[in-house]
Amino acid sequence: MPYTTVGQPRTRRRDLVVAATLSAVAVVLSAGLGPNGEMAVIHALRSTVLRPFIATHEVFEQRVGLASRVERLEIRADSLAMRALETADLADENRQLRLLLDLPGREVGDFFIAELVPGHTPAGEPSGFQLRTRERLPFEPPLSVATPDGLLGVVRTARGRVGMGEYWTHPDFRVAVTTPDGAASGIVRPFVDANGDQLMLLQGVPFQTDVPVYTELVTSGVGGIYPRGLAVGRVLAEHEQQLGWTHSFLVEPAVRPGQQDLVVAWRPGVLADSAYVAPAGALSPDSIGGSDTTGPSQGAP
Amino acid sequence: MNGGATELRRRDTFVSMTVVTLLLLLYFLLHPWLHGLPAGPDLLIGGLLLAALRVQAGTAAILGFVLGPLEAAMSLGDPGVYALVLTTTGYLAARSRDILFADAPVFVVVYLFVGTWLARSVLVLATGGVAGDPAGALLVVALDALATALVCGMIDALTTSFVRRA
Repeated sequence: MPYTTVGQPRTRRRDLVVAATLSAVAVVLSAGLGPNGEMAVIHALRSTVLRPFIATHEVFEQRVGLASRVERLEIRADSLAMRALETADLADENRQLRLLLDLPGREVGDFFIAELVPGHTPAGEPSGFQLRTRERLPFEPPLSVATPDGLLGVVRTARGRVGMGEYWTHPDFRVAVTTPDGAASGIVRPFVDANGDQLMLLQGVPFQTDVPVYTELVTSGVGGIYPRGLAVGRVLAEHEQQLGWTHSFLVEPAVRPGQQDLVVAWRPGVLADSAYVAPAGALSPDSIGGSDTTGPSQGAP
Repeated sequence: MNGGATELRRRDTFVSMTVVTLLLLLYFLLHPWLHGLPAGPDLLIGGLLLAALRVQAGTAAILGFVLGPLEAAMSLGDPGVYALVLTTTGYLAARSRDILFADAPVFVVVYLFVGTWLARSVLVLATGGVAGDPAGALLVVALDALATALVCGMIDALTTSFVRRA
């Protein structure tokens, strides 16, 4: 077989210099770019050299997966309609109570539909994704990303209407959670158990507070990145890890990264704190009960 | 080297580079489906290793440096890490062929298996892919390397036999 030989010593030296220089450039790229720089490089390559391939993938996926996608969307639309009906009374009651207490309308931020493209890793599950939206306004990270079943991840960097984010399985992911009745609260992070199963770990629960098995955990809204009330998971069992006067619990996640393609992203509102007291006379019944623009715009989970 | 051998080598390089280009195009075209399989051939690293058999080590390093960020952009990974791993893979693969090769097809298969296994293992370690299940991740890498060795080894054998017959 006529393979090329390595060549003369001078050629070998030149090859070594080329490889060493390129490796040094790669190290500088890796260490010096940062998340926004990486995002810029990836965006530039995906919109130029790789554009024909990505366009082909999109066309193929649209045609092949259209029937199953329509079916899934119909099911999702039905379940959302039911939830919307259930919450209509609650929203009205909330408005009336706030009016009685002289509080401003509840600012819950803005939800919008986005397309999620999962990343790929050389082995194992991906921990990153790309988020695209057809919204006219570009979005500002960080943004929480969820499905109707619960929290999926967070967008860390954005460029125009495209962002890059991490699933909750990313080692750096943290979210403040609480039980629906507010009896216990803590921080949830990803956790891999002894069998290699990807779970979550609830930490920082005060020692005297017990959290029964199968208790649902939802986002507490603390920090302003995640809206309050998104399902995060259910408590499986107490974990042996104890930090100071706190204990920990294993949590079964509500949503696992996988085949999600359409998700709901949440843009925090200006006023997320419901304890804000409006100046006397600043609100009239008309302004609250009339054209309400503070609720979720579309597809709120 | 006589004129016949030079001509054969030139023809082999041309045909092989065409095949490698097609492999890389096929890889990027089938990217979502190849990564969706439990284990499958890595046509990117396989193509790089096949190219490294025919070109100088510096050229193989440049090819790795170009392919690294492209793969990172498709996989949403760190462009620097991918560029570093594939540059090193290209260079070391081209440098190692004189030590390993005895012009036997079985050596090409072993070269492809070891090269893919090492490159993929380093990528898995560098991108934190073993965090969930290290043993499972490395088993998948070994299966991928085996599939790559078989598929790309067969393509290399077909290419070589085509060049010799032409």
